[in-house]
Amino acid sequence: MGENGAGKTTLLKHLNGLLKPSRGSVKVDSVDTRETTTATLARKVGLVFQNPDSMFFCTSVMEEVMYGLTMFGYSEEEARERCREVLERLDLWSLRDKSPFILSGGEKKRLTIAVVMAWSPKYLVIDEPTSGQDREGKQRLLQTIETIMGEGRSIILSTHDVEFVADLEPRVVLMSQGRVVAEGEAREILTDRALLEKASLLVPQIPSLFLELNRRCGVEVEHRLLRVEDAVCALRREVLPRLRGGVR
Amino acid sequence: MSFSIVAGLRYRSLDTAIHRLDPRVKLLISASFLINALLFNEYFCGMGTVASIIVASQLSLLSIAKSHRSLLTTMRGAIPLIAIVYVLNSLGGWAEGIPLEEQLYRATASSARFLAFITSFSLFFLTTSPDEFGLLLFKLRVPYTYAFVFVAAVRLAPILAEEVQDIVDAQRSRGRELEGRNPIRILRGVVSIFTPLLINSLRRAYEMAEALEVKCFGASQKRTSYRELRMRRTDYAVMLVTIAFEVLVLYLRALGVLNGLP
Repeated sequence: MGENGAGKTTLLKHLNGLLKPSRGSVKVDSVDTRETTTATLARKVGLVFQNPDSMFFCTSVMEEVMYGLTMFGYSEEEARERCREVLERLDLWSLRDKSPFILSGGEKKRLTIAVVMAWSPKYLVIDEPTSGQDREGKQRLLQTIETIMGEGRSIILSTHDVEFVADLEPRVVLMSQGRVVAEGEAREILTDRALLEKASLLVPQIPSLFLELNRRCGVEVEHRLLRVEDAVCALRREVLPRLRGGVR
Repeated sequence: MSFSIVAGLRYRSLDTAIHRLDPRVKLLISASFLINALLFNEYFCGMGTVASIIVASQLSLLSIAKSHRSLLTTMRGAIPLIAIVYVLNSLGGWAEGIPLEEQLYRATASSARFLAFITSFSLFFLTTSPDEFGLLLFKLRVPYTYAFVFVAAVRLAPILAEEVQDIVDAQRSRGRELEGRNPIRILRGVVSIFTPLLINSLRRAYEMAEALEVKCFGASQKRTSYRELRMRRTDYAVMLVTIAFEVLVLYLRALGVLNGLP
């Protein structure tokens, strides 16, 4: 996470070797990215671009998904099977014969993810997954990401959508002006107002609420909470009794 | 993918004496370079000398404009082409059965001339912004619609290069091999870029047309310009010097003064 121009996309493009480091080295499962090609790395590291339009080059949604599968040597039958599965999962099956370019913004974004998910890379890297997504799109994305995480694969997201990340509670690496400024659990980082301001990010609504409660009502409750359920518990257990009890 | 050969044609916004010159004057200078390169076309009549002088003066003029590095990049990018010119000329000389020194001289002179050709307009392109270019065309009485088409094309060239890079990246990220040393595999990869590039360019053209309509393109017949080209004293002075110089060169050429020079 980090402000615009913090270097998130540049970092992600190093993960599958689209960019090679000019100093230092990038290693993917102990393979130096400078010593192999992107095409080889891509099998393991699936990168979803930020801008869908720059990712499409086929004439239909179906072909777009099939492209990577045929490149990686899947048999026709298996490729079709996988294609169908991934398109259904992301609710794009009905659009399979359409041109990728006439899809809506949200559909395009989902297609970019489908395209890469199709060959189940060990690491799924998604640049700005939530940009241009409505509530339903985000919800679906969240479910997909949770499923993939359940399958024991890793997902790396770049985003400044703090609320989306708050729901996932992942490990967060905060970047600013090309450098990593903080790293740790979402619960620690996304509730640290000073740190977030440094990276030009908003504090998510829930910790924001607790920070304000602490400041205005002097209740001094733990503010490092990200989920609605946790917030409800904390409010019920600690805040409400004190407010009722006449504490200012 | 490298586009180093066109690096020498990409405008960079700087503020130097050369950048401030009127584009018409710069066009004249570049044209004079090109004419001279065309004019001295015979071996032992100053072909190699003139070509080398042209390249050297381009470089020194561009170093005033702080853009000589771009030209050097172009020249470096042109090395394979120059090598082809060199080899073809040597082979030609060898087939004609002329002595070795002369073969080498011919090949060197032709390569220098080739270099002079490809660099002759870099002074103009490197220091003239697409907008100035448009104004220039307008001044030369090219109808605005056509002038705009031309300017848009010039301005879109770097975007197109970016587009190619995007498509290449997208394909590499999905397992197409576009790196490495196997030339056949790379060539096949390059072919696969053309279709999407064409489609994307057409799409971009439609988008641009819409944007133009939104901004009332062609709404009135008589179009005014926010900025107009105006010749200053320096511009006139440089123009006169260029014309005088070109007349001198033509005169020298007619007299055959350079005959016998390499």
